[in-house]
Amino acid sequence: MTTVKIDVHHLTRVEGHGDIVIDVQNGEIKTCRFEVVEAPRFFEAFVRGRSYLELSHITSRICGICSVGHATASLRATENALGVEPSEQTVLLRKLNFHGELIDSHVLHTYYLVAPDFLGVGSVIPLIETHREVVERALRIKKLSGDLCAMIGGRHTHPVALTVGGFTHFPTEQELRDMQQRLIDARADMDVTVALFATLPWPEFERETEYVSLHKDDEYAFIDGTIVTSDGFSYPISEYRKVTNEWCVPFSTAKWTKHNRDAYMVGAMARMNNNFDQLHPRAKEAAAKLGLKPLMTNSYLNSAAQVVEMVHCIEDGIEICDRLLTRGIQPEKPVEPATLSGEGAGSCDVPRGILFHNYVYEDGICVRANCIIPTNQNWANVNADMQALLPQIIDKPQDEIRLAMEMLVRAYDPCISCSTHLLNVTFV
Amino acid sequence: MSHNGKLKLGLYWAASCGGCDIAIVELREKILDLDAAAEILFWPCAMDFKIKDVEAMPDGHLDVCLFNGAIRSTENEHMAHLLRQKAQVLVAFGSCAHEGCIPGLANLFDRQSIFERVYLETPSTDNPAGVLPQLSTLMPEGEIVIPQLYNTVKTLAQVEDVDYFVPGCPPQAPQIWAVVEAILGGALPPKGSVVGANEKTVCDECPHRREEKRIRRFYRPHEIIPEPGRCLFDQGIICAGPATRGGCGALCPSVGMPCRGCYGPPPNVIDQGAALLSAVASVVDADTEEEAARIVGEIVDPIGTFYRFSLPSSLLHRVKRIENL
Ligand code: SF4
Ligand code: SF4
Repeated sequence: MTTVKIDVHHLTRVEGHGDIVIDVQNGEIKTCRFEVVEAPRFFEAFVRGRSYLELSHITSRICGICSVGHATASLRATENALGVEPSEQTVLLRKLNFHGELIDSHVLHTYYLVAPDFLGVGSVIPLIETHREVVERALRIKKLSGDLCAMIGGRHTHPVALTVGGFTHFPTEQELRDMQQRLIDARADMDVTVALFATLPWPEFERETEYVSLHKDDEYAFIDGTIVTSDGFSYPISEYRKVTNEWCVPFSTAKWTKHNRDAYMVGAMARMNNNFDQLHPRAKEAAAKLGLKPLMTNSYLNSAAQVVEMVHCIEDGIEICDRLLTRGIQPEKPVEPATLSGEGAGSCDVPRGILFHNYVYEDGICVRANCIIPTNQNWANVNADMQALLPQIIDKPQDEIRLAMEMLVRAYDPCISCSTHLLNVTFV
Repeated sequence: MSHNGKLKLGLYWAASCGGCDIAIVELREKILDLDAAAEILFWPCAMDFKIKDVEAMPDGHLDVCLFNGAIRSTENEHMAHLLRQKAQVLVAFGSCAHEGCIPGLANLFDRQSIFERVYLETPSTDNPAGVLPQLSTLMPEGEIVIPQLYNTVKTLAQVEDVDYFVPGCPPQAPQIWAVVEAILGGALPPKGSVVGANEKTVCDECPHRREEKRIRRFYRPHEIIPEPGRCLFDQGIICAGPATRGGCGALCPSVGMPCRGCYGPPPNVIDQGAALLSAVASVVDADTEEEAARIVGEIVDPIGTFYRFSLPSSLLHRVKRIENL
């Protein structure tokens, strides 16, 4: 009879702190769980009392990896609350900035955190010796995405030039042109990236769940749109609570979410499952090379879906530069609020999945706030996946089980540092 | 130094957003140089090492540990003590470890009210039974213990002896590299120094033209388009530049946003918020005290403005509830 005890205390190579706990006694699974171990930071409580102009700057600190995504969702929530309609130029610039962050985050996850698993090493560092060209390619893409974010947001992490109703700083035409050329040049690196990830032996594992994302008919949605699920539901962003249904358990302070089933999944794979038609043609080609098409039900493939999204964002980024250059870019005064009191919700589908901010303002001061991050929404699904996978691999050596589980959790790209709703958990 | 002559480096994050780790990754191609000069022995965000590997290290095994994130729970504090023991040089890296940063604004509230807000009142939470996290819960496999959450966000130096401070939310890559070079070259200043910044203020690095400030009203950023090239403060937008240590290259004012003070107070200033408040008070152009009070009174959310990044390290430490005073 099988007896396995695994306690991966502090899973590494995820952006945050998490534990995997597995306990099998005589073939019977006693415990199989992923626990989040993160110091809580409780942004919702202390944004109360802050001015509406500061909310995006404060909430970007929820996560240093998705700071543009948090800032953008925060701005959309504030703008919806205060009756602000951003201009076309603002919308285009925000999208471009968002694409920069998505590429940045996905290259970090796929190259720095996931690829080492497949190349049989514990981190990206040994690859500097053994696979220097891989590391250098990753660094090139990273530099491009970081520079793109800085060009628009004023700096790479925690953008400063984004504000309610617009921007306080604008790239010049020349900067846009140079950036567009660099995006075009990056196609070569992306081709090699797709080819590389197409050769990786993705673990086999199927478990269908409900996939939740934003959706727009006319573009691959990252900012605004409607909330859709693969089970056929659709809601306006203001009704996000119908999807998230957060609930609490006494042994953890991570809030869990569920919708039509016991769990749902968000992130690159969920977006691709729901919005495949809206992908750029070149991204669809990349998907074909990686063998991806809806409905994907192998959670390990979330990392492969991220590669496809990088291709999409590079291509769409080139087109956005075109539109900005054609219509001309000029400094604009941010749109002023129509009112200083009201409630609004905003949503972005950030690298790790759909994210919601919801604020109530009185006289320009935030009096109530709610933020729901992607990792929390994936939490129940990570656990369901682990419980489905464990019986299939239970007879393998312990180290293989450990690696399979770690890779599964890492595939979700869990950004545990977005800990608005999380608390430390350890076992005795 | 290790046998191969490389510097032995550890990187850790406590209560943080991950931005400080990303800042290290932002060294980009310099990461290759870092790898050539230093052996990274511990970096949970990017490498497979477990806490027990650190526990097994002899004391002082790490030459340098860059510690980011604030101290929010018993576990954060435990790691701070452990890494102090294992590292010859402990560096508070980034605004959270240095001064508490934005998450330190939680010190405006206490633990109970935060818990109630997050677990009971948030509109999306369905929690009719009023389930709050418990320090200990009995589960089939045994007792699960949640580390204690402190009532106050603390800086690293408030729980451990710190050798150096690197400011910034996040620290900017060229400054990080300068610190790495100083460490490698053995050129570190006296213990307790702020490194990776300079001895001036953000104003000294700011490209904007400054004149004699006389302010009759303060604006919010959307209320005016600041005149390009002119000091934002001169134009009535509160900018923390005069009360903030230089080093970032005046990133924010350069893109039309006022500095919010993430590099902490300048040399010889303990309380950044007080310094900014006095900068504000000294430029108000009012004939009477009432008028001065009115102009300053128009400032929205003064605590959040003056202590955006430095509340936990400030003289206030935290807002004391009246009944506790
Ligand atoms: S804009 Fe701010 S940082 Fe620049 S000179 Fe004026 S007060 Fe100083
Ligand atoms: S200008 Fe101020 S807030 Fe902006 S990066 Fe520099 S120190 Fe930080």
